[in-house]
Amino acid sequence: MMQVLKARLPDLKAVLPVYAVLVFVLYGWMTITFFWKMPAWLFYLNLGEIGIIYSYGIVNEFVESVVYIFLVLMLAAALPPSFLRDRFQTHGTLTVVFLLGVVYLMSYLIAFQEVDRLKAALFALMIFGILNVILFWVSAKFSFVNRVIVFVTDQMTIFLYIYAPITAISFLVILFRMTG
Amino acid sequence: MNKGITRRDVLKVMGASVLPALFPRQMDVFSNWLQPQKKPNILIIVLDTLSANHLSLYGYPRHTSASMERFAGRATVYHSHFSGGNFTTAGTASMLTGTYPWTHRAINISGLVKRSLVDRNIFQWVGGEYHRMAFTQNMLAEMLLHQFKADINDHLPFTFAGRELLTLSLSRGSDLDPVLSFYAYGDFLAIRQNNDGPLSGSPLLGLLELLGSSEETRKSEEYPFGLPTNSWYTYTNRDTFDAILRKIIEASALDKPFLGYFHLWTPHEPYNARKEFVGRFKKDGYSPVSKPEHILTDMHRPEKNLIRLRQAYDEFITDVDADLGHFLEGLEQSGILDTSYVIITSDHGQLFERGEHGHNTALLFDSVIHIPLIILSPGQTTRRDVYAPTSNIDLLPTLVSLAGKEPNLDMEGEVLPGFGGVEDQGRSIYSMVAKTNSAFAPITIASVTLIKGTKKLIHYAGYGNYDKVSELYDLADDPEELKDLAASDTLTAAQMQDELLTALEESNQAIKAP
Repeated sequence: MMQVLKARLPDLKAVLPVYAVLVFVLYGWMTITFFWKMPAWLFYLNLGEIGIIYSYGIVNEFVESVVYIFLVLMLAAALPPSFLRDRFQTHGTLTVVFLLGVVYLMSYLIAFQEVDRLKAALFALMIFGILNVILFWVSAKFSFVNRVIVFVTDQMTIFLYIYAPITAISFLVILFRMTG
Repeated sequence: MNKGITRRDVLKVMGASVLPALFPRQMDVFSNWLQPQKKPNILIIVLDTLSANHLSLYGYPRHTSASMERFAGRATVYHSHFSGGNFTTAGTASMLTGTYPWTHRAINISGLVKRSLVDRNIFQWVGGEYHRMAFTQNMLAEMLLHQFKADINDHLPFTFAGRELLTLSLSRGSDLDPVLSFYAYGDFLAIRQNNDGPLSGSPLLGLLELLGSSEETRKSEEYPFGLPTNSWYTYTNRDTFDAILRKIIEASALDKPFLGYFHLWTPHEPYNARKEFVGRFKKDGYSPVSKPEHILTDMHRPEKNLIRLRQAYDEFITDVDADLGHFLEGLEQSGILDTSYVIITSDHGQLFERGEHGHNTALLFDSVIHIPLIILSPGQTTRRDVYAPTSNIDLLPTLVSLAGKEPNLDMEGEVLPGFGGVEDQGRSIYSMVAKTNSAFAPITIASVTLIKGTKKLIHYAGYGNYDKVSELYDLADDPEELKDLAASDTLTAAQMQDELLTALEESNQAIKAP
């Protein structure tokens, strides 16, 4: 079973840049909102406590990024290899953009526009579905687009080096908080 | 030499065994006398957002508090009792630490008590010889209870006696690190709705909370507006009081007395009363005094709207009062009323005037800080009324005194009249709101009120369009606070302002000191 699954999964070298895109978006957004909230917390929490909240954010985003990449990998394993596995760096990235886009747009529509949940889901799926079909087609048709996506995602792997130690420290902080 | 059992011994045993049947009450008294006496229990019932100005017990024209009035018939009733703050965090922290907000520093929404004061809370002061229980349906108060968890033996879950969760509760964080994980998840990563900021820090968690939560509670024949809710879960007051009663009966069987702090959400909005109470005050002829908007009014609610909201609030009070009455009967039947101090109070009041509804306001008019306080002592049979001004910071030193300990000099409150304290009509009582002022900085943006005798001074500082302004009211002649006397009674206004500013400056000096 594991052998079959392994054969159907993409190469690790292709997975890392896709994961880097996830880390960039998830950790980045979390950090932006963290700084948006920080002035309010500074009113009644000290810097140590605010640091612990950031650690919760980091650990949460790590878990979330693992959930997303797991979903994409399972999709790659389930679909015919030419759909995702064989061009994972490009198509995997586009799939990640699709998933994140649907979640962000749905959240925005429900929380801020008070759109009905089902309508919000359908609208978000439609918008990012159409966008992704176009991008899949364009990346397959024009090798330049493909090269751009590969170049950009390769550059993003730098974030893995930055966030890996921060994630490790954050895990230790939360572990200490939970057990200490 | 053992003579064996004689006829006399048999007669003695038989005689002793029929005594309890013949004289049960006398035998109870005798056996209680033989056992070492437990100290009386202390039971605190806090009804969130209950303004004394809306209780018929205190003269409100609508008959809202029949049960409280019955209870007050043999208790001590405080007529001029004020909260240290005008919302949950500040008011509850004042009650639980015996200090004013400028000292405990839980002045912001979701704020916390100053770290150096955490181990000087009501549960710690009363001490380990009491079994200490605590429960609240208000998340802001729950954060404070979590701060004091080391001193609470039985901290009941936030959802205790709740019915239906309205949220996935991701935003509650983890019980292993309740305070900071609440801020991380409840105030940042998994926010359900945030109209004044970006999406939640984790849009996936935020989305899950949105999809798993419900804004509306289930309507029923009994609850035409839906079940009461604290926005986390639905509940009924009857269920909650019944569950608390069971918990109290369990605790009363322990070999030590208990201190129980039970802080209910009702009558906080939404005012989801039962059918039998809805419409009770509609067209009842009562017409509240219309008051002009204040310069710091934020909501600008039309008068008609305020009248409708006031009616719903009054009906919800009547509803919870009925369940409170049922709960007090339960206490009486179980004998706990005879062995306990029972305290009924609130954390702050509610405004329905000057265009403002609620308590999220910079205003400190009477309705939002004047709260009920009724204390029944074990064995008390007659009513006592106390008219001298008192503050909810007095509860802690009073309980410490009831627990047989010496109130500490650091406490800002005083032992309440009727429990060792003296009625002092000229005492200075403060209340304040400083939500937008940093808890770590001197207080410069705030409304602070000083009540002394019948006079009340409200000082506003740091508001752009209303800075360093004082208003003076005479609560005896003008209980509706309509005539500002600051310009006519300049001497009193100046004296009271001096006193208030000096007290504020002293507290600011303490925060400036290293």
